Amino acid sequence: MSATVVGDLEPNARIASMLEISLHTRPQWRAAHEVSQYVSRFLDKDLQRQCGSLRMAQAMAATIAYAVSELMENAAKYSVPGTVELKADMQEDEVIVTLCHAVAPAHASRYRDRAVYISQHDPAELLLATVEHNALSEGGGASGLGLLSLMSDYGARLGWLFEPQDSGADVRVTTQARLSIKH
Amino acid sequence: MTGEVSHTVGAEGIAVRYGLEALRRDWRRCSVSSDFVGAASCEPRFAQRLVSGAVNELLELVYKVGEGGAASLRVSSAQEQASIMLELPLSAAARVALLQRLRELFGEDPQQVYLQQLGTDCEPEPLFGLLQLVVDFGASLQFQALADGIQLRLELDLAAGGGR
Repeated sequence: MSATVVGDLEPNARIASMLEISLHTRPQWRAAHEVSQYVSRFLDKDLQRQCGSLRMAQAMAATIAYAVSELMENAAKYSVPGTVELKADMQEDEVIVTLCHAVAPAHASRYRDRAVYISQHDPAELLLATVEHNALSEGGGASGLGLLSLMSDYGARLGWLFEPQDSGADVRVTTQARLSIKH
Repeated sequence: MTGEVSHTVGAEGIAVRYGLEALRRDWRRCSVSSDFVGAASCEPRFAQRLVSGAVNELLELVYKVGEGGAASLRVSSAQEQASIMLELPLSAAARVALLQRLRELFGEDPQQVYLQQLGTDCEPEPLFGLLQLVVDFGASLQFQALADGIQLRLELDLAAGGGR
């Protein structure tokens, strides 16, 4: 696999992060809720200033928490043991959340294929199709509902970067969610 | 906004990097952050509170005196010991001044200094919280100059609520 950009991500973007969190504990999914609440609380004051009203700021904070939680839980499904890095920043009229983690090559290929599929279809239609598929499936269904909901229901723009490492082992995966700040 | 400070996370633990400008826009970010780091870095609840308190002191120090791009914090815990490391960006002059002050407070007899601080009517010592951690909770504090700031390391005994 060569380095691959999928969706709405600028691979060379230099985002001056307000906040960067590195976690080296397993399983990361346990930390998802704590991290998501922390990030939204950390951004609280800036959100209130940007949104112009407390109600809109609270709604935006909830959206950010959901986005962070979904990114981390999604990463937990594919990550190999190691460090998960989350960055959060606000630029003009959007909040940018970026998650980096390492994935085994076999999982990375499937993950990339899924990301390509999502990026090439309407998220609302995909979400509905996935829900229907899951309802008809026995013993489980297709994953990715959270990310599809993030795109369809919250208007997030998602992008991915898949970077094989020199060692030829794990693949470094970056997932980025851009959330427009509503006023 | 980002500085040149960088570090790697150890085998266990959490690391957080703060853009100084962002941290300074809201004083509450110190306590919000310390509560998160405490909860994320160890168990049980008492240990989390101790770590949270220590982290809060360090982040308030960043808030008060930090200069430059970003501050980095790393917390790791194992077998009832917690290690908290802060890389605090400072100008050259501020670095010299803070190192001097750290030596004065944590040099020969921190307890004596602590008692003097309790009895003084002067403006509160910005490092008083760290002094309290060392004297009341037995934490050990090490510090050293960096090219662009100071590194402070606190070691906490989570079982006894004190240090080694």
